[in-house]
Amino acid sequence: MIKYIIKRILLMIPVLFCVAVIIFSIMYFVPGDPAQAILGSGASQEALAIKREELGLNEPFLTQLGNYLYNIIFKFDFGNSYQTNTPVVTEILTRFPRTLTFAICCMIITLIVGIPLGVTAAVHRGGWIDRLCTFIALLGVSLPDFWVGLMLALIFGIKLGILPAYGIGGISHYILPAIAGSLGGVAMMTRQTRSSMLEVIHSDYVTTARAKGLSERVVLYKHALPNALIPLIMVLGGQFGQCLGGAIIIESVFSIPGLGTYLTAAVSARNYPAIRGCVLFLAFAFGMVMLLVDVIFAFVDPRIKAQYENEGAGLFRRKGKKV
Amino acid sequence: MRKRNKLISVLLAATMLVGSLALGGCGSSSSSGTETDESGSLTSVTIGATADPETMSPWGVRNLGRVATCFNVYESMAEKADNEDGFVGVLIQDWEKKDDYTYSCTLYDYITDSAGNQLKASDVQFSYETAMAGGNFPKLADLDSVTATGDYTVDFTFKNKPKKGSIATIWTEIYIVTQAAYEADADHMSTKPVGTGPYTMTDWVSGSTMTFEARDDFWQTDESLRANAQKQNIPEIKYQFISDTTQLAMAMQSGEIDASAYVSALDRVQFENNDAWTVYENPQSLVYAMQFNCSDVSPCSNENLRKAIAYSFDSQDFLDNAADGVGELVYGFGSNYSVDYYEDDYNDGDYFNKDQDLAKEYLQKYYDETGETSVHLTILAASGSELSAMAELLAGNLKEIGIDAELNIVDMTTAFALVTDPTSFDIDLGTEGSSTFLVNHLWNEFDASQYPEWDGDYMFRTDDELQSLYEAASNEDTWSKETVEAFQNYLDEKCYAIGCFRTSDFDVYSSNISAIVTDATSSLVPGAFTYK
Repeated sequence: MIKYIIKRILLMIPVLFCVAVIIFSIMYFVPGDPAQAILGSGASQEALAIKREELGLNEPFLTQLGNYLYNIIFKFDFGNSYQTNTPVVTEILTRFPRTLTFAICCMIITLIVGIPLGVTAAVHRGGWIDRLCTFIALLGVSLPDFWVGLMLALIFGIKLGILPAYGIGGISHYILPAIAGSLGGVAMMTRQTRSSMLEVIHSDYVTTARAKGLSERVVLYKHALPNALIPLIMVLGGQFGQCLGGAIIIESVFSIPGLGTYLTAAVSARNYPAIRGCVLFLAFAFGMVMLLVDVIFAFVDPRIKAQYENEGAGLFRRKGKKV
Repeated sequence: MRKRNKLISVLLAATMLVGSLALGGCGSSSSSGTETDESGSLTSVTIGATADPETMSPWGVRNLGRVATCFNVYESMAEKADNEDGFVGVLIQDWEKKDDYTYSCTLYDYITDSAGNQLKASDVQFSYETAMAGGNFPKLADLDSVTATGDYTVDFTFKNKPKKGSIATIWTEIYIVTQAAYEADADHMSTKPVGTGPYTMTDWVSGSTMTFEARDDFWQTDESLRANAQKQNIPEIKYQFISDTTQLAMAMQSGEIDASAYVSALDRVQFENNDAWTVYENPQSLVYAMQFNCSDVSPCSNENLRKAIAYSFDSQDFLDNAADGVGELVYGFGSNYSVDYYEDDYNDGDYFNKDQDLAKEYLQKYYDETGETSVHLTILAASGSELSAMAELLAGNLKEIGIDAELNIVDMTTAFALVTDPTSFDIDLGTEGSSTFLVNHLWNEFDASQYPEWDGDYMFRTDDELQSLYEAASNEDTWSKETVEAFQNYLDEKCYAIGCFRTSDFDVYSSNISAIVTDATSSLVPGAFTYK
């Protein structure tokens, strides 16, 4: 298993390399002058030229790309922010824990609400409870998260005054953003759980479990649910990645100074080092989440674990042959 | 074993839930606006702002967050003012113009920073030289040198004869710190600022909150000599950064914020006619304006076509529909936020009033002159709600007189880039402004010498008369109401640029505050507020 994980981590290197090249190229060709964004519209051409030179923007594309990749690979230097002149890694690491906390809170809500709803819907298939659960799921997908966020802030933050409606602080600051941000995830999890449970609920081993006289709760949550987990873990992994990279709107609504707001501000200001650093970091984080999902697969399903072990062993055998 | 696991799980979940709710309670109750001491005097005020300064480095890139907060810690040589000089002294006690190129100033000899370092002329030289090396202040490119000529005297020498207001900009926009304090911090004050200002920063959660406390040892002890930004009418100032203005308004309503200069026109309604709040309409320096691409590749190089466009729309329509009627019309390429904008003279009732018959007449003249039979124009606008709406309204107005127009609405930085390409637009809609002298800010765009890379000025206008009138208006020796008005009149005559309107921001403050003070950038200066 360890070998498989090492293999996956090694495979991320070319992926990250490609991401670095692609994001660099895109930003290079996007219209807009970082020097102008820094100095404002009133800057003279002379001042702009000096600033461009200072930022290294006058170098040819390949030279800039080469310098960028060299600094990343050999110095682990992602550059300094054009706006603050501080290393973007420092800025990203300051903001990432906030986005991560938000994403984890979203996942917790998605799990504790989505799975029971989905199981309930599957158990009462076709009945009014099923329709109610499906309706709730549909509502979650249909309501815009920013609107829900504002409403939650208004009700719980302003009218009732029981939860903070903006900013950062303790875990309480993340409750309302996480509820707003997890609506789509809850809906998707409910639907996926329902669908997966329907597949396994009529399996022979579930019938056998019932025949053994086990309680319905034990049958559902101990025998049926673990076998329906694989697609759910996949959905959860995807949702987690989405929360990490796509928290921009929720972060804006709740004034959470996380990676999403940092990235949007960087795009507006053509703060190239910050944009590249963020995208690369998010790509890495997403890759790690996907790896974690695969590892969880292995623990949930022994067949997958065996498959991974074979793949990992194969990797090292092949390497051994080459040597 | 299984039971134990279950028990642990349930306990953990319960702890999380209780913890969350408890923290939630703390979160809402601990955040309050004004605080009072035992005698009932206010000890703290909370100001709402939409942006964090990002860095507290004295010479960082100018942004909304820095403009709103940094003046509490740092001081510049002077503060912007509505007088003929455009400034009043802060660190400088006295100043004079030595010759055509050089200004000399004398500092107070008792200035100290919050670390106890005395500020001398050499620190001023150091500050300017470091700021120049940083390259974040384009106006500093005009300076040849800054030289300490004594312990408390400094000479500022320009490369060329300075324009009217150059020294005001240079003295008001650069913060001065002591070299000793700057070099003592490995981070160069980007997170731990040490300035000569009236407050010190005691806490900063990046992107969230910032706290300043009044200095007991503030150097300017003579209250009568203190500029607005030097006043210490409240012991503690907290800033709460909330990027979304709707959320900011909610935070004010819940009593967590006492004052803000960033309440939107829509949200202000909640505070009007409410005894707990006072709403103050604060006119902005930015003017919503229209300029024409005067290069050969654009049909707008033709004066008659420009006039046809100018008479096809009504600025009041723009103001009403693009800015919800919040603001006021302007009658020149500037606003009375600037010292050298003479509204009484410009507002004579005939500043490009909508007249479709006249517009069609000018359009026909254009057709006759050029032999063209139709016009297709590209309107470039930055993607703000007001500018986008303006562009749509203008396209509709042009259609009414028979001109086709397509919209190119892009983000601000892209718009800046496209403006340098004469093939990418015909009409540029933008926001322009100056809080001191038009001739030295907004009107720089008419100075062809600033744009050596292409023919003409910012909008590719090649007009010797325009250049000579600009030079007369901007030169310090010839700057006068007459030369400025002559330039504005020529702009109107040739229809090179049209100011349409300016909007207002709304400053809202709680009943704990009797009066607020804003600076030239419209930022609140809480240290100078009058508190109840």
